[in-house]
Amino acid sequence: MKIKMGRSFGEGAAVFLIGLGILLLLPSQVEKPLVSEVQIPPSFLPMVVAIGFMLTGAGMAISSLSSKTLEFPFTKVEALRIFYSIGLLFLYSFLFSRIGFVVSSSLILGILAYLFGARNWVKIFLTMALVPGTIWFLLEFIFSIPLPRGLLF
Amino acid sequence: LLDYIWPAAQIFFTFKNILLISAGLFIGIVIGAIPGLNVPMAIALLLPITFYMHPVAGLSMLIGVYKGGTYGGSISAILINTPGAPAAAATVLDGYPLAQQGKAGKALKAAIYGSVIGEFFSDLVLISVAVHIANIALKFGPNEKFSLVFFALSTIAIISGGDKLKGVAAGLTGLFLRTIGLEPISSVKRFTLGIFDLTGGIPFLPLLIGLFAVSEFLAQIEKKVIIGRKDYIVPISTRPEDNYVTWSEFRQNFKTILRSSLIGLGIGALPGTGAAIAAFVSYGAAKNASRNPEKFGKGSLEGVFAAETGNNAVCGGALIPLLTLGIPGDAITAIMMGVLLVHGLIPGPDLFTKSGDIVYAIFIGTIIANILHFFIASLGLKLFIKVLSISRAFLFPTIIVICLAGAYAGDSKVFDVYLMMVFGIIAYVMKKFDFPLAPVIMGYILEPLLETSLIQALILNKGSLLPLITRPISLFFIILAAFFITRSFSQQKK
Repeated sequence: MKIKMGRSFGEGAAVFLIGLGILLLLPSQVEKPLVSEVQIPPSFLPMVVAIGFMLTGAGMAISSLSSKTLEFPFTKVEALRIFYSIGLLFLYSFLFSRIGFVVSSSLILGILAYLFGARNWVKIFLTMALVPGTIWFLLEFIFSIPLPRGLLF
Repeated sequence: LLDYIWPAAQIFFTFKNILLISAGLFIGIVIGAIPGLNVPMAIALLLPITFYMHPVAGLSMLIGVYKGGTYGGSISAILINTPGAPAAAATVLDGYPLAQQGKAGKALKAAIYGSVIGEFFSDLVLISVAVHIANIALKFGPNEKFSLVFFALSTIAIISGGDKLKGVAAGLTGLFLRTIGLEPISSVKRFTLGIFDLTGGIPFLPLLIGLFAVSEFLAQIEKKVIIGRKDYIVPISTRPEDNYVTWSEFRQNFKTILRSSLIGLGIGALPGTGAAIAAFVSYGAAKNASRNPEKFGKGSLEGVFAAETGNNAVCGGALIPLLTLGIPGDAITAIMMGVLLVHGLIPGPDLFTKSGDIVYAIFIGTIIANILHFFIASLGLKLFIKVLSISRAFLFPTIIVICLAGAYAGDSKVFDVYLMMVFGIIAYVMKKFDFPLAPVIMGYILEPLLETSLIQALILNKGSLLPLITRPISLFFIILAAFFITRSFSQQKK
């Protein structure tokens, strides 16, 4: 089943609102320079970008009035799968600094390989051991880039 | 030239130098292909070793890393939709669609041919007319640089594909993202939302990896999983013609290769620009001049040739201001300048007269590096394509782990990993709604040059914008930009 929504006008409106949001945030989010006599204030480019967003959004919304309503290309099952995967990725990012790169990566590799349909446990365990180990070796020992060790490693 | 060529050849042609260039190329290709590792990082790591070498040996090795790394980014861009280096961001546009059609071998070979020819062209120009090019580059003041960036931005409309307005919105997103952090002139905070980690701005690696790799991962997650079946991310065609570039294809793209070489060389000679800008401008110019612009973004070989030739032609171009004027254009050439200085060689016009034999030995090294580049990259090709024979179930989780490590490796901050995830989700939503991703990168890359050159131009012109259209070089780029914008929007109307 496909979720239907009029997306073209909505897209234009969203782009317009992003521009409006930037414009409204300008006074609070751009500090004033210490030197008062500057050729271009620091808010100049963000303001140009905001106006650009608003004009582009308005253009998209106006041009959508003459076009057909399009289908949103998403099924509910796909949406759920994406939702869970995003959750899993954030969990990985969180665990990455807590339990260390090697352990968290091994776990995520196993879970993702299973979710992608792998059922050969020898291959899964080999991947879980070899991939994080190789990356760890390459970054830590060859390029001297420290990766989080966490509590378990 | 003739006075120096024989002594230079005697200095260069040793087994050790050839071996060092080969090692440099190999390291560069591997580094370039891994998202998160970059050429300046590899060059900085190898720098201390070069202090104990002859300057020709040290610089030749670093030039090998530079050339190999600039090409290496195309491998992951073509095979897994993740540019290993910023320079390969434009290669993704047609490289990955070609791989999805089973033509990964053809795309990779086009990348090799384009890269090597681009390098050869720019190196030959470097050797023959470097001083003249450097003098033209010196005429690029803030007005000209602003016009050049404006022209580069105008190519967004061309690289956008279907809906130009969506491309413009994506380009604006890139521009806005780069305004976050400290303003370049007055150093005041902009849009940091009170988050300390955003003071330094949005880092490039998490943005690049998030936009291309994480969004692709999410797109793959959508697909139905059949338990136990060995699925591949892209098919590999068994037809021989899908795995190499035919002579007629090469001939058809020769003009594109030549044009992109010139663009890469010119942009490379301008300090502060870079390979990514050259690749996008070459891509835009190729699409604009193409007989089949509708094929761009859907697997056009011309697109791969344009992007790869353009970005690798920068390598020779970037050495022009370094060797002739002593001006390093980017981090890589700045490190190379360090190698010269350590050995008591001061880059600039005197370098050619006082140490001509060494300069020409380095030039021979660049030419030999191109020949070796062709063979090393071709030998590695079969190995790289093997990546595609790994099951989707193992390859994508591995890519995610590599990407996470890559995003973290840049600044060793977990915050960057979260940023990568957020950009991945934003890019996935953008893809769903047919917003192109390449203009985001384009806007992000060009913003600092756009803003600083505009501010400098206004200071120089005492607040007037008139010199932008009264100075000939500046006017040329403004007219070119206007032509590109008008043409791309009129094409959409048709």
